[in-house]
Amino acid sequence: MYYLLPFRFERLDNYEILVNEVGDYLICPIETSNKIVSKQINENDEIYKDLISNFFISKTPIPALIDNFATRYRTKKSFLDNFTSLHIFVMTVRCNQNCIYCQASSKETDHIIYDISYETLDFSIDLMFKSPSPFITMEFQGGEPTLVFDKIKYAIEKSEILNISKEKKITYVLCTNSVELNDNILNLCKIYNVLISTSLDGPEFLHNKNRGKKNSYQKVIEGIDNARNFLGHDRISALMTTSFFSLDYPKEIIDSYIENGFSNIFLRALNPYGLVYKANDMKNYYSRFINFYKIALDYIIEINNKGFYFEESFTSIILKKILTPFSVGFVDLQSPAGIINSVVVYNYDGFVYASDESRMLAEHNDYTFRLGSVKDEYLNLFYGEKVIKIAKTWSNEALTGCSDCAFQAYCGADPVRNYTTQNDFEGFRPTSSFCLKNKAIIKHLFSLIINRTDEVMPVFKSWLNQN
Amino acid sequence: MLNQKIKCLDYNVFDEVLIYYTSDRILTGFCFVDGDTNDIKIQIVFEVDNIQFESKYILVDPKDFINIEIGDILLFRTNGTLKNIFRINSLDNVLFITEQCNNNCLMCSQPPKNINDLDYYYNLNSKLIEILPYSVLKIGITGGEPTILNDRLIVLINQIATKFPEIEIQLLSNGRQFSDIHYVHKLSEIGKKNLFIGIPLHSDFYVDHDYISQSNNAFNQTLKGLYNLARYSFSIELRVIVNKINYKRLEKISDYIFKNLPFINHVAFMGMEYIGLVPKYNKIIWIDPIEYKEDLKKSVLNLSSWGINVSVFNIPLCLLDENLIIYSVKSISDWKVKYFLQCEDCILKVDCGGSFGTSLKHSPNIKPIFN
Amino acid sequence: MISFKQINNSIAQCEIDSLIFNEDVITKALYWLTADYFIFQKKNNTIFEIQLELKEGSFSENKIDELKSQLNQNLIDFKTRNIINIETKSIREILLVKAFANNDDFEDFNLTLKE
Repeated sequence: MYYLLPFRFERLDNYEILVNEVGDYLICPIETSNKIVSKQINENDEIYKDLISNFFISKTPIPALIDNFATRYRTKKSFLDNFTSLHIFVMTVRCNQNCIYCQASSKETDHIIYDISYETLDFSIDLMFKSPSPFITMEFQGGEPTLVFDKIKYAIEKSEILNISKEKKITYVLCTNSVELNDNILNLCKIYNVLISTSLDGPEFLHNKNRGKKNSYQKVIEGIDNARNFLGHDRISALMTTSFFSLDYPKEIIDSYIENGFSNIFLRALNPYGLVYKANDMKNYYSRFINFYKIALDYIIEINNKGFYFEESFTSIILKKILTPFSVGFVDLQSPAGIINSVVVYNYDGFVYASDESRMLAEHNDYTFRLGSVKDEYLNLFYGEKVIKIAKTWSNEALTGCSDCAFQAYCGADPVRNYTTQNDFEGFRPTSSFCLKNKAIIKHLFSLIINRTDEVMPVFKSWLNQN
Repeated sequence: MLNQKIKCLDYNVFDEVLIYYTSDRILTGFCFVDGDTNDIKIQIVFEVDNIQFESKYILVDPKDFINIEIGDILLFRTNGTLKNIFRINSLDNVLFITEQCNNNCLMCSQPPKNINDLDYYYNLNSKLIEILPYSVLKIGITGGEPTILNDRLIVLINQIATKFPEIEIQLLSNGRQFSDIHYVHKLSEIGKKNLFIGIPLHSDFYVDHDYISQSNNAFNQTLKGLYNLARYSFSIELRVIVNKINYKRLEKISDYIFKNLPFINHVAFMGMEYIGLVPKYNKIIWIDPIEYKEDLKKSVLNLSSWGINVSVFNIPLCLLDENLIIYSVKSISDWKVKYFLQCEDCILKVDCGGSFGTSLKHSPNIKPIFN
Repeated sequence: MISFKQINNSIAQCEIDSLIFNEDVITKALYWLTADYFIFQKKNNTIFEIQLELKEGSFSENKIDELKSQLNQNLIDFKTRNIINIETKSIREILLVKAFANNDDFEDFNLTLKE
């Protein structure tokens, strides 16, 4: 006789994956969940021991170690403890490139009405310091933020002064295409330890095609080299976006990252915002992306097993959730969602938005996720009616299709994305590209862990231990 | 009591001054070898009301005095025996708290006794701490189960901490008493740094753990205790004594430790000493370490791969998978350790921790390694 | 399911006894099919008559088998999940309260039964 504890299950090949409330998993034969639920597991079975010790069933209605279990649950959700820690400042929507997948909907370089004002900066920085988090990341985005260098300098210096009394640990990040990284900018980065996050899509032919400019790659590489020399090798990180064109070149992209001295890559799919994509195109894109990911990951694993350390960051994030008891704060894949709870955007237009994608909607005159003006009260912005409404659908524990999903603990909720792609905060799981992509990747990782254990586990652990 | 004779055997010559302690007062004495009979004798001088008395010669059993050194502290017991309770040159000195234990582990090397010895040892330890030299770097607290002493254990630890702020204390406990958060709170108030708590975990499955502990609810209390200790940031060493009942789940135990107890500072996998209750229960508990070689390897490497400190204690290197040799620690006290004839040829003997000299039975697979 | 049959090129029909699979379970089982099918439901006492109409195209032999087995599997799985949800509802609430309650304020009324 035993009692059930909360768990979810899913079939994978010949196995059942069972996942408990804190994300611990068990790989079992098919029909195991049925047997567990119909109380057919015998106390002498080895699996009985596994189920008891891993909090899938309990000898008593309330398990004796309920407090330990609660501590583990609290640990898993401890990314919430500090509330908003990532503060994105959209300094301008002007840009000096014209990338085919750009979601910044850039305006041309000259019209300064698309720049953030000093007043907005002042109010935004004050709001930023009102966050209870002792760790703050102040991230400058655009368009291309280096076009308004003076304002970046102003923002950093002002924050430094305010921080004398606030005593938070602030990390500055500059997101730039690296095309115009002059000495002024690099000097500023050096003084304030600014991390540079740049875009590199892959080898030259691919990167240039994605950027719509012939010398983009060359300039980016020059910018990266320059910045590395000035600031140190590890102060520059690169992000890639997988355009339709990129989908055919997984290995080439990885190779180009290695050649350019990076030890990790984040295989990012397109976001279904920004410039023109039709629904059918996107469905096709995502199935192709999943394939692209599998090939790239295989290639990366092979490289690691040959003795060269190279990490895939998205994989690491999911693996950390699957394999370790620790909390993972990754704003795009968490429940409760990253919007507001972890990240907020102060836009050049003087308004506060729940996320980067939220302010994209505003560019198309949709203000659904505009929380208010930078001049509004902190409490009204972060705990106001809009947020309360969004909060009803920002936990996947309570979403249709997600609430029973075995991979709930490893996935997340994104009301903004649901709204943008499906016109509904809650979203419709069967046609959700977010669901499709994440589920496929999570299943794939489980399949690797189960079927190619000796080959992949040492590599995966090496990535997780690096952090 | 001073006149009782004790058995005597051959021994070396010492005519230095030793410090003695009894339950009554501190004494000094001389130890020497009788030139005629070759007996080792001790003459104790003690002081009462400023008058010195010399005792008659007491014969000594060298088993209690292996490698005596100046500065050692001996306990002169009321039954006329002498016991070395503090060795100046050893890092393995302990304060013995009680013979009682609220567990009754099947592989216990020092089976508990149901006698009320709390007061006796409390007084002894209190006095002992007073006379311990300041050169002591490390002290253990053991038993039985030390927490049975309850609040007075806190007093003793406080006493140590006050006199020796930097000393390293290793408290061995089954951890059950720490399920009471108030007790943990009191312990934390001492504010002692370098306090390490060693707690055994027999299994991830409560039925197995309780069975090995021979005590209902042991697992639950120990796990609650571990979490309470973690709340107060205590340094914890988890000890897994590998035996016939738990060895098959060893890798799962290591997974359990990583997922549920990632705050543990150190995990020690330990071989059994064939002594105490082990001979009595040997059919259910004893196992030749060579049989769990693979399970142990997987568990150690698993924890290590997650960045957790792991060691292997009390298992000769020839019985370990070669990957585990770097995790092996020379853990058996020098006065207890034993090597075999065949070990002389072994190239790893220098690094090997050997076997328990006290064990009544050993693995038949102890063989020298040649390459 | 009590019965499952193909009506025409794009419609399949099934009958489900809600005493075996309750309405919540049926709804959840159907949810995942609503991307590809229009669902028509009728309730006769305790029997649900459900028609599934392909939104696009028509049934191949594979497709109809796939639908049948998917529906079957969904019903069984969601029934299992339903049992888990019902049986673990209060423990889940207790877990969350304990996880997030302010530990200093929260009185623990020894909730665990002694064995």
